[in-house]
Amino acid sequence: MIFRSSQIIRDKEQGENNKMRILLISSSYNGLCQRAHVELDNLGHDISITLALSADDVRRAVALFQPNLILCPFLKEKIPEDVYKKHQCIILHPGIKGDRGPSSLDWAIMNGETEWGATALQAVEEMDAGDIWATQNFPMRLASKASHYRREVTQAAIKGMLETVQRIEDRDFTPEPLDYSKPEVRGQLRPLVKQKGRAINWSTDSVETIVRKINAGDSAPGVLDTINGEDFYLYGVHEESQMRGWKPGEIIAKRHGAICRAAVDGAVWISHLRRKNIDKLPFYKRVLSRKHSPLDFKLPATMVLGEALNEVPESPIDPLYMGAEKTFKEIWYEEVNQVGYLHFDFHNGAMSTEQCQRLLESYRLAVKRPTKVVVLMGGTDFWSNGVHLNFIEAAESPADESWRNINAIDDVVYEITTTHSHLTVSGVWGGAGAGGAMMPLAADYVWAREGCIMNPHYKTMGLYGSEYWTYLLPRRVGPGRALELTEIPLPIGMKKAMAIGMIDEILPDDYTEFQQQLRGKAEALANSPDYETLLAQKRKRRASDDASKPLAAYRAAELQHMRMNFYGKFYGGEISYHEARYNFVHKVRPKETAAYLAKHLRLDISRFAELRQPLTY
Amino acid sequence: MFFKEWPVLLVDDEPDVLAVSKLAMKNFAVYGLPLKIYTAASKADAIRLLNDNAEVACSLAVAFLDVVMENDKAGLELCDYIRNDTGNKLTQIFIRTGQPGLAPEREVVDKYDINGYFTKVEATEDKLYSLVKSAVRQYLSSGMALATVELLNNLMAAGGARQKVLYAVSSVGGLSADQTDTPRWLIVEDQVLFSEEVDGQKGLSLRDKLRTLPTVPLNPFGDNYVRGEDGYQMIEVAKSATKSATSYLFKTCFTPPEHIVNLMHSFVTGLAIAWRQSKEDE
Repeated sequence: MIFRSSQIIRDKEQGENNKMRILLISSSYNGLCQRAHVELDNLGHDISITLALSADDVRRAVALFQPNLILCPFLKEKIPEDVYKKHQCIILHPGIKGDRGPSSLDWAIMNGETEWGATALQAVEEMDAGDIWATQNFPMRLASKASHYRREVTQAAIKGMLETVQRIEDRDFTPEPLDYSKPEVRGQLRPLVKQKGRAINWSTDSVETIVRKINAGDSAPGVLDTINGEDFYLYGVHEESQMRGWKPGEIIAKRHGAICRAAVDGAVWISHLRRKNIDKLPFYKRVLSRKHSPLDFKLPATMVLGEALNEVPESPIDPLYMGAEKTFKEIWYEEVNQVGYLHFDFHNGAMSTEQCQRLLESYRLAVKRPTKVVVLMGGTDFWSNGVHLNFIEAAESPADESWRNINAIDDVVYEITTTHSHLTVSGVWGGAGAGGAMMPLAADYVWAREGCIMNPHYKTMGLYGSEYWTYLLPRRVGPGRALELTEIPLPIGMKKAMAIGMIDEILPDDYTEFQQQLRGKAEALANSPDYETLLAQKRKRRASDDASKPLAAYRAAELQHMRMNFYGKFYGGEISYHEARYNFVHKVRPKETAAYLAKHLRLDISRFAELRQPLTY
Repeated sequence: MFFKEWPVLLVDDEPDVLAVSKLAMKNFAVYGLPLKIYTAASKADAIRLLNDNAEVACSLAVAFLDVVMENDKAGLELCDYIRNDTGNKLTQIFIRTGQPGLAPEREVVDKYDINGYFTKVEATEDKLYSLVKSAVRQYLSSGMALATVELLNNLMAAGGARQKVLYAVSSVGGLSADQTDTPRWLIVEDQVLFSEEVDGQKGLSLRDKLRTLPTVPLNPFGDNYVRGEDGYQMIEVAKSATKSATSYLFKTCFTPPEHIVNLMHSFVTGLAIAWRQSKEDE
């Protein structure tokens, strides 16, 4: 059966005007799916989401929601035949026109493609072989697969998705059949990349090849390699321009969790490792068996290798690193025209106790510089995602480590909130979640990229949350909105965030334009004739806020709740957080789609708050 | 209720005082449980410990603070930190000073939220014994009372929605990593809540076993408390027009006193009522 847009429109017109019922089918509620959700919601469509947990789950969702259109932003599973035959299904594929297969981006990086793309395809029997509704290309960077996915692929896929939705609404578009004889169809069917194809040959591979190979498998599945006779997956590769080693593959230095390994023509840093192949136990079985299993999830490399690195020298780096050489750095700083830019690029945006402490030190140094404005830049993929759950999970006492981590991040937020010497700006390029979405609010101004997605809530992790959110969030959005944002764990797009006052400015989605505007605005602020007035107003406001309720009181009350989350003893303490964290770290898939996403379960919206508990696994 | 020991913090800048106190307290036991003694040599040291150790930060029963350490008021500032910066109103804080002239008793009690004041001269082993014992009792009572009020509040706030009722009691019925020695089951109308996490069948058979033992009536309406072997205990609320039959089965490392059992009974009654009144979502 061939779909034409006119057919869809007929179905659509039975519904409300200009409003389609769109079902998103996704393997997980990842960044792209969240962005698709937010964008379609902005257009006023009626959206429901189902995770592709089983064919029956998908069928049930379709039967209940009766969508006009099905979109699959991130799908690893096959859609049941009866679903795509009866309903218009569009797949967002991370590849150029004609590209097919499960490892699109991996191949693009390994083959050194200079341009890649994302394509909206009709779902058909043959994988990725359906008619093409829209396609968008972009230039490739020297970055990991996940980084491309979060930035370029997401931007292109969303553009393609919105174009497709528009074309379906406009009724007059006929999707283009896949035809490899056309010259512009450059893609091809490629198989899954196996570990054999990813493997690094340390005695021959150059730095450039090693970087490409690790990037192509980052963040999943990683490149399998052997260190000291044990098998590990490698992640987080960075080129090193100064250090050299005699024996390729040898670990020659360590820094902030990362290891530096010699290559034939230089050296590379590897920030994270995952131990291979250990059974995954469900949470309750692990608790009952009380077995201390070896850590088999992604962690900083030095933590995984432990004592084996005792002899390896630590390679120090300036806390306010301003160098331009290629090396592994999590925190660095630039200064232009009285504006200081503090970057903190932590892997996946997670900030451990030690990383928070380092950030605090760097921030303190940054506000001692003779500048007027400090811009908190966050990382390239994420601004911040709050505490480091993998690190906490790996700790001997996760409760202790949780406590330390939350206090360390609170200290950073406190320092930003109470900065009197500078005007502060959060320049939010990457997404932010949990405490990492509260932290930017500590600055005086929050300027965020248009396509940025924030998740300012803690409930899915079973936590009350700290980071002074009970002060920072209501201060910007009012108590009612603060309740809504934290109780219903949904992502928020920047248009809505701006409308409710959570952020102050929206900056362009394009990286170069974002940087230009951000820097332009920051410099304008530093050189503004009102600068002193703005600074005085800020100090005054802080003083009056502090007089009505000191920051310490907000923190104390938040930590009081966290205490129950981490370590309650009177009625037994919470399990939700420890279990949710275990499932997050071990990537345990939920058994069902959370009810706040699955609208087709037809719940009364006024009772959404009932469903805020963590997912059942 | 699920303590295995009582965390106690001693802060003093004289190592001898710490050592002697630690030795004196070594064999103290309250409700049959030993003390777990943490020490710190200064206010800064203590704050570091509070920030570093979740047990000290979250479950500290008693603290003895010297006054004059880094400065003339370091201990008092520490008290202020515990009460106001960390929001901890439960820990029983005692000021123990060697220089009462620098921190007169009335002034200190007026100004700081403490539970007692004494001088080092008064600090005999017997004095410490009675203070620790009564302080832990007080800590447990206040903590249980507050926790019970919080649970009842959450049950009330659930407003008749079954999902919310379940969420409100998830901390009671679940099992967490450090509490495998003290398992707990909530059984409502023969259904073990959160039975995925715990062995529900074991809960039901334990309940049946405990039911054969002699019980202590908690009220004239059939609610009762029963204590079995190995620390297993159960509070049962009988089915009625307004309550679902509800059992709270748990194991503790010590035998709770009567007023604590009564507090737990209030919670179980609250759950029985909330469950009876709540509806499943469609």
